Amino acid sequence: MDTISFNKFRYSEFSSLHPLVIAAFFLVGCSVVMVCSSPVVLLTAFFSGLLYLTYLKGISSFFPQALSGVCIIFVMAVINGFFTHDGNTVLFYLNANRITLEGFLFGANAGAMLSSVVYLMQILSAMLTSDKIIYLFGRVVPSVGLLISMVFRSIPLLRDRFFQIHSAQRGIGKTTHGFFSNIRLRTKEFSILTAWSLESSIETSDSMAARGYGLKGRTSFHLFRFSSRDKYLLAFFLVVGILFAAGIACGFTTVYFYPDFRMIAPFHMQLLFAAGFGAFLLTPFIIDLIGDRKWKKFDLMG
Amino acid sequence: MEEIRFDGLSFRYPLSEQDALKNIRLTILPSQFVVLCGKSGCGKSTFLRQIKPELTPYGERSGAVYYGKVEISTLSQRTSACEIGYVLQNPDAQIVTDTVWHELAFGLENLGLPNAVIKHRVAEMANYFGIQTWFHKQVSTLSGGQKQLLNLAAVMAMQPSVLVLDEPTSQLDPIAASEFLTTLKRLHTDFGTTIILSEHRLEEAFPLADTVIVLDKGEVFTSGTPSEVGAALYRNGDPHPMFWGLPSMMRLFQQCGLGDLPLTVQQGRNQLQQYPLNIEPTITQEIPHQTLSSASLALKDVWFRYERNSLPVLKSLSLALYAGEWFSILGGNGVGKSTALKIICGELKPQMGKRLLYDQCSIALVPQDPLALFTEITVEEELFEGLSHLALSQQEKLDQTEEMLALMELTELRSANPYDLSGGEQQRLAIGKVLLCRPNILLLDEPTKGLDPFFKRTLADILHKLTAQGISICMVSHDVDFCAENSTRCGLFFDGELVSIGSPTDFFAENYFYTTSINKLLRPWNRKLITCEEGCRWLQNQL
Repeated sequence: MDTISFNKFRYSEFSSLHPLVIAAFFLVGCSVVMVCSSPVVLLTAFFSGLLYLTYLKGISSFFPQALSGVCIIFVMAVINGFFTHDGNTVLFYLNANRITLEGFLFGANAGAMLSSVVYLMQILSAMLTSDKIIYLFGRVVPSVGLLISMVFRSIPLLRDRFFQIHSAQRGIGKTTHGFFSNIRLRTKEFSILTAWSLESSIETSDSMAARGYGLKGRTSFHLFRFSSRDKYLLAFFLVVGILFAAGIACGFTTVYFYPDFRMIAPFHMQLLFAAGFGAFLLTPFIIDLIGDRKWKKFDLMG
Repeated sequence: MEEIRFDGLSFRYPLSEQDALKNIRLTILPSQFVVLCGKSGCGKSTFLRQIKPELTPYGERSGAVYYGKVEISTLSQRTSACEIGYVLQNPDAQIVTDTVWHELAFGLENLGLPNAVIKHRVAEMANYFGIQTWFHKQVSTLSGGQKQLLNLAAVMAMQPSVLVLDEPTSQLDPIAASEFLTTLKRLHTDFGTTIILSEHRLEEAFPLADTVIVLDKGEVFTSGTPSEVGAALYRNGDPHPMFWGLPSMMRLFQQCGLGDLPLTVQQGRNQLQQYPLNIEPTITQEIPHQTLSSASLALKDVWFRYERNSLPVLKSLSLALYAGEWFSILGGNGVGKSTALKIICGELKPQMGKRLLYDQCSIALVPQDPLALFTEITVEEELFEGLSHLALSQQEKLDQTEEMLALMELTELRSANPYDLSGGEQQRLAIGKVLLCRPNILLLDEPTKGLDPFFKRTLADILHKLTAQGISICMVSHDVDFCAENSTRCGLFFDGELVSIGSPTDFFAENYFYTTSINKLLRPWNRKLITCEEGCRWLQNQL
């Protein structure tokens, strides 16, 4: 499908699912990560996110991605360690301030949460092309869906117009020498762009009015098909989401760092939760791998 | 299917001294194909907008327009949206959404149809218009012709019984324009949709029309079948200004007094067969060979590509421009004509080959869309701004502005906003502004796009005045007739180079497809006749 996508990613079977299914996945995934404080669960999220992102972007992206995640964890650990003085295990004193092990651990844990969310968001941006964004917003507020669609329309239009204006100004010998004349010319070009675009938006609104925009009961059209595969996956994500919520409510993922590192549920329950969550986060990866296998079998050229 | 009846309609814009439409009485029958023509600013758009209540401008109105039995301003918005389709001039500005499929569905969404119904209608339309191959594309990747076809399809998806089109082809190149008009014809024959089309390109619109209406200063000057209108515009040997806009074949027959006016080359040939015309031998004249040293600018074996891995756009292009000549470059879309202009202008640098400038030449390019130049709020200030970077005294600048206003015949419009001018006036203002840079080479990119035929003659006169002053003009154009009538030399651009160059007569005599309709008509007898005037003189001598 020819849509605005923000990065170069490989084909993903998961992204061909219905947008609601994709949205449900990220909603569950991000919510769990953001309310968990268990290092085991967060590290699981960190590694599954990194694994799937590497699969999507290619092996060469592994090192920079992993490095950026580790940097986030490290920076968060250092910042928290030096600014929070709670915790009982004192490592050393700095200007009469206690620098504690718990402080560093809490920071690192928060860093793992942050970098997991960053990975998930990067995957999300690969999955949600412009048409899916428009569809999802259109489900909630139809006029916002249309608005986003018009924005996606006007970005390339304005860019092309600006190039035309720039080229026209050069064509009549308007060139710049130095910083200030450059700014003056750019301002002028920008003002032409504004006037031109406002003028042409009158014609756009005419064309909208001519096709009955403003009538009551506008619907929002889309090309997505909700197949049985989407139905099962959506149900699966919702059930799993409820299970995760129950687990979180029971405190399986709650961990206290201050004054001492302390878990409220038994460790094996935390491991169980992490295993389940890891499996959930890798569902897209598994779906993609199955998709790849099918394509290999289907190879028409033998 | 309802008829549309204008019952003594007059319309006046607020603050205006005269009526934009005066006492219009006419009836448009169901399934008619009506072509509306007239000079720019004669009230064509105002007239068409009276048929569509949402677009009717604000002003004083008397009389009435009936759609069937209903006065059109009392029509419900839903009925109007469904039954009366309206296509506007600018292909880009009309598109609302970002993808082709969404645009097709836009009107149906407004009507509140369920997804399954929209899907069905969109699928149908995409198939009919041959859009299925670019159904999923972003609209920004389409060509101008595709965009306008999309606008038409998006309107047709609402299944209107009346289709109103306000100069839909004025921003398109001739090939895309004739495709668009062919599609309209097909719609008309297949579905019996009533079509009301305003057009400048009468050469192709006339054969399609059942009825032609000529507007003049807000009044219906004449209406009837194309041939009747053709005759009415040339009564007693006194041509009405719109006569110059008629298809050149009609003008030729009219001026030579040959009876029935033909609409196509085939009809014209059949009629001419009755007369004993001599077949003239074709003698190629030797063009006096000009040496490169008398040129004011030359390109030598220029190669150009936009990206390292892309195919070259210009391939060993060589050309020379001489002082005081008018050189026209013709050719299809995307063959590199505009790129060649940018190279000549110096905006792009060739990767191989040379661009040679002789004696302190300055070059200026008039862009295809004049709006890309306008920064000020009045015509006067716009021209004055064009002088801003020159080291002149205030008085000198004012004098030059005044001179340019007079030369471009814009003196009366001096305090108008550039955006309120008609397409032709904007074009004149743009040329005026560019000329203030005192170029001795003027480059024009499609200067006749969107101009009415009457104004084209004025533009040609202005440009001839410039060549008389020794300014050379290099023009890229699709307008075969305009090139044939005016240029000193013509060249055909193909695959990155100029494949043939010659005087218009030799150039078009050699061409079989890419030539004027007069030449197509008279070819069997004399290949050297390319313009209406030449054809007329020759025919009158023969008869």
